[in-house]
Amino acid sequence: MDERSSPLTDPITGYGLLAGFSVFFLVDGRDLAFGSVNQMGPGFFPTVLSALLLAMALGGIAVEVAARWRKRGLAARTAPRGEDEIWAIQWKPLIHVAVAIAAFALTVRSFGIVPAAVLSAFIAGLASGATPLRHLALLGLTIGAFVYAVFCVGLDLAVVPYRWPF
Amino acid sequence: MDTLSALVGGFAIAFSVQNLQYCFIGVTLGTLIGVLPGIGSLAAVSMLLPITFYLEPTTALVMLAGVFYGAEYGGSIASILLRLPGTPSTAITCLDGHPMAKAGRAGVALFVTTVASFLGAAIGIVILMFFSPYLAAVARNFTSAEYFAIILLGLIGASTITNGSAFKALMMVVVGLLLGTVGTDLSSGAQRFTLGATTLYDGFGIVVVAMGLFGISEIIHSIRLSRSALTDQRIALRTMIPTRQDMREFPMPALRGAGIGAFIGALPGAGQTIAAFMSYAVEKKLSRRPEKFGTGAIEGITAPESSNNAASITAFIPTLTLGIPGSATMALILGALLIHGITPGPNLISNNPEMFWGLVASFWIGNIILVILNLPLINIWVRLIQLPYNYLYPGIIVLVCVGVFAVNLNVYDVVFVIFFGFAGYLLKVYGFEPAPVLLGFVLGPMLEENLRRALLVHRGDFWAIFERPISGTFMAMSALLLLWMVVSAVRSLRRGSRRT
Repeated sequence: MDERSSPLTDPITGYGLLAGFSVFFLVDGRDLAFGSVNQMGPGFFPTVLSALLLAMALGGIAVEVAARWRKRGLAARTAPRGEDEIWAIQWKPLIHVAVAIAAFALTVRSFGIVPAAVLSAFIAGLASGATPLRHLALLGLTIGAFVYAVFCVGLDLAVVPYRWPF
Repeated sequence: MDTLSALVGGFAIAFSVQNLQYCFIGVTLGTLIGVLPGIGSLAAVSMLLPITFYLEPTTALVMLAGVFYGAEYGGSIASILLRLPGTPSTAITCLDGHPMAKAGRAGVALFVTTVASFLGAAIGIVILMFFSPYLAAVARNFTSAEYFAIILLGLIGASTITNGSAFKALMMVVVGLLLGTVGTDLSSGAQRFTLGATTLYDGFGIVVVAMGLFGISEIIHSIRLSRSALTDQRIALRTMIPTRQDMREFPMPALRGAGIGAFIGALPGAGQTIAAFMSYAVEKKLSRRPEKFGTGAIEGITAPESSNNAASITAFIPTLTLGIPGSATMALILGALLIHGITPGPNLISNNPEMFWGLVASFWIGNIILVILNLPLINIWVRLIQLPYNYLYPGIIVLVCVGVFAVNLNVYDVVFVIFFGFAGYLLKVYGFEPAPVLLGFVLGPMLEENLRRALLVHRGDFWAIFERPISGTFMAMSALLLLWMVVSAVRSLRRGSRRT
């Protein structure tokens, strides 16, 4: 994995995202009745947990900041320690996979499950950049046939195999 | 109850055409995903979960369990031939298995690990058979206080006994617990964190969370992994015959490994990976020639392999007798049973004996199938290792989409998978292992409900949970684990500052 020092590969960002997650639960849960210890309301458990998570995230940030302050002179971020190693985010596979799944979600209702599967497999296959287009098309059709055979014929699911919406 | 006559009844169930068929499918798929580096049994079980909704509960359990323990067999093949662990628990097998393969003893290594795996599994099954009914009888007296304490211990155990950072794993447990609160609150009927979306009134589906966090995030991460270490080996059956010295060095390490694995597998929170690493460490310590470990010592592969297989079987003990899964994969199997309307717990063995004993019998059958798959048919798997990942993952993504969609025919579920896949990938990027999220997600509602009941019964006195003998013991164990986590964290921080 290549190591770049940017805000995205900073351990503090990781803790910060989790802190944000816990703040969402704290804020969205403030209207839920907290109740008391012997009559726990619906807000009790999530509020206690999100406070705990927030405290842990802030603690993690504090430790990171303290470590960085201690070795100011050193490039702390470019020398990650073992388990804290941060990878660079690989945007290409991430976006391709997301688009492939979204394509399935968008087409499955109107075109049926087999065309959605073929399209999704094709888009997903582009992510690696290592498969020739001709192979990808073939792979997509094979997967479509497999989905038809296993889910529509074999398991007899209550899904529409294919349709033409227009 | 007479265990043996119950087992005979179990065999009658396991030998039904359908159960036999799905047992075979399960262990074959398990070996397949074990062999292929890049997908573990967690991802595989989550991908198969939707299919099992269409099966009888016992058949579903037989198949999912087959995937789970089959992966332990398959994982060692990739470890030995490629030095790439097919599953995390077989990582340690690389250390001595790959040197053996390089020395031209791949056949022997594969033979020995398969036999050790079978031996470990067999010992695990025997312990499961005799110990589970006993534990279930004890657990029948448990109140909500005991359940709360055991679930808490499981959650804390699963996060502190890991290879990575215990602090980060504990945070992941809390994230999972919070995700578990989304939806309608069971006791008050209040809508929690649904943002007004009706599709979230029942909370997130377990399939959605599992597939996103493990299936999709693993694929995003693995797409760029290169597969340079290909092998064009063929394993001739002849080369599998071990030497007489191999035979002599085989039994004791395998038995010790099985013992350690069976014990660790049954603990909440610890799993096959810990079991395998621990057995390896024990063998190295006991050996008269510890220096040969890492160069192809046969004990270095028999002990961990028998250990992780024993652990994969005994992991079913807490799941089936207490209803408390010890690992994320077990949480998925529990989820599958819950969806079928079966709540595992102390009464499972007496209420659903056909399910319990049918599963036990299927363990025997499945492990025998696995020996056949791994010895005479080994070359099928050796060839499969060479399948390039870029032809494999588009199919996995489609299976995830179809699987998630098929559960409720709900398009939003597919959209949530993108969300969880993105979240799971980000977590991995920042060094958070997402497996404890799933454990927290499944156990969260149980933890909340039992805490609420326990506090109601004891009039809000939290310390009452500490005062009851059994729950108090579990709470003390949790406290010790937390203390140990804090101490080792402080120690590693100090070491870090001294180094600079």
